[in-house]
Amino acid sequence: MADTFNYFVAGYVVIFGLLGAYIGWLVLLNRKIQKKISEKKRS
Amino acid sequence: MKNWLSTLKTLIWKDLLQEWRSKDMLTAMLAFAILSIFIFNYAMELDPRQRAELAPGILWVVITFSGTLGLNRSFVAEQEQGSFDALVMAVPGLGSIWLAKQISNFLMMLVLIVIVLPIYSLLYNQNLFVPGLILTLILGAWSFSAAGTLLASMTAQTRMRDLLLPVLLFPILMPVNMAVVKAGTGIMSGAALASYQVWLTILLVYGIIMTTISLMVFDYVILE
Amino acid sequence: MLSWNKKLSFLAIFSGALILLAFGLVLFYAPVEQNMGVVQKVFYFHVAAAWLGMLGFLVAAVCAVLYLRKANLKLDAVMASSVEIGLLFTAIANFTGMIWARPVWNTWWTWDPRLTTMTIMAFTYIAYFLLRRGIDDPTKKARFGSIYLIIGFATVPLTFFSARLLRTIHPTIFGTAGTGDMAMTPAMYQTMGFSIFAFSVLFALLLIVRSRLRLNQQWLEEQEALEQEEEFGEVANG
Repeated sequence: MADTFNYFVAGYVVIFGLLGAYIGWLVLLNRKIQKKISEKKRS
Repeated sequence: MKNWLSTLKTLIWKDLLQEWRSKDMLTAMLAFAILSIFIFNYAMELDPRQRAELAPGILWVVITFSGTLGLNRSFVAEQEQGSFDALVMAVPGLGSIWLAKQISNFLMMLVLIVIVLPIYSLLYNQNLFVPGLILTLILGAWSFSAAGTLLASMTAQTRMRDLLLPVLLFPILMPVNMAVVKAGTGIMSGAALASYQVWLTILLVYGIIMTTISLMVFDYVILE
Repeated sequence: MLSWNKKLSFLAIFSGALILLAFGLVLFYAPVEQNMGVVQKVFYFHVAAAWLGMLGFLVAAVCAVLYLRKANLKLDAVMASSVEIGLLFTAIANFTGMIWARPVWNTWWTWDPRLTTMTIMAFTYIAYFLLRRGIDDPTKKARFGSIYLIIGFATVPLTFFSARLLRTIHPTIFGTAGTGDMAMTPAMYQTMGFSIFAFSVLFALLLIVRSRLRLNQQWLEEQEALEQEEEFGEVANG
């Protein structure tokens, strides 16, 4: 029973990892778009 | 009603005539199917009994892949010659355009089955001319062409065309795959009808659902 | 032109807090299951992710039908975002399902009907994005995408029914303790329910943020198209 702990950890690493990666990607995408929009507005 | 039927017949006849003259689709489908049967023989060196159990599955895989080749070709004429617009103007009621395409694709697959079945039986020394199996394949072919024709009408208008159709089609087709193989295996192993009847029902339901949705939705495929 | 605002910040903080709270419940409140050990605790977020994966596709299918009735590119933004987020949650559900299955049933993949259906749906929705990629015109992209979503969603009941007919080794959740079955106590039900709630709020947040991003992208593309037209006009006249 003790070694199912590793799987437990792996499971939550996957969950938070995937969620975090997606949110991180959204943040980067947002920054890129905001930059482009402010460039457009200036020109 | 009579007008609609004669329009349908004309459209089907047009597609069949086109295919008869060029024989593009059919040759490709047949060559692919027969070669696949050969490949499967070497891929799976099995004893006769195992082969008998696998026959419906292998047969259906071959038919599906060849059918996809045929589907890819079915809208090429419309795409290259821009006949979509001409058809829309000439034909009252777009549903008949789709239905005609679907029926001609279905007939194409029937021809394929009619030729592949004896060849398979010969090469694998197995009698596949069981009425139940043939019925299953026919129902499967109908469902396949219902889903496939609608998707092919869309992929013909994209950039990637041929490459895209299998990717779009195969996930949608899963219930059909399962049903044909399960029903086929049940029939070939001589099981009682009650055990595999549900699969035939699934095939029927799928065909009806796909045909209905396609008729409702086809306008949006052609019209801007 | 849509930018971050205070309401979104509030929603983001609220959502994050809920997730952390749910995780806390999983760690400290829910008991350790007798048959499966600690790994069973993965199940709470696994079920939540699976539900939200389905919800994402349902929302997308509804948007698809609405779009065909009245073409509005805002619907398209929500539709595509919902599918994307649905895919994310389905991926989480699939991976956690595999991680849970390995120690408990000694296999990575169980041809469990629910998981199988979700995986087939995931393939459908990946195909959806490929279809969109192959089309340049935005309205056509939205229209064909909607049609494919409707077809895809219509096959889900049949796929599930067929997969279930074929095989089942998924545990019956709400049952008494047995070989490989789980005995659910009230604390476990509560943890599961709260996890689903927390994930739902997260889904709403992600959907809003992603849709706004897409709308901004659409706006940018329109601006660029307009600029190109102006350039052409100048070249042609000048």
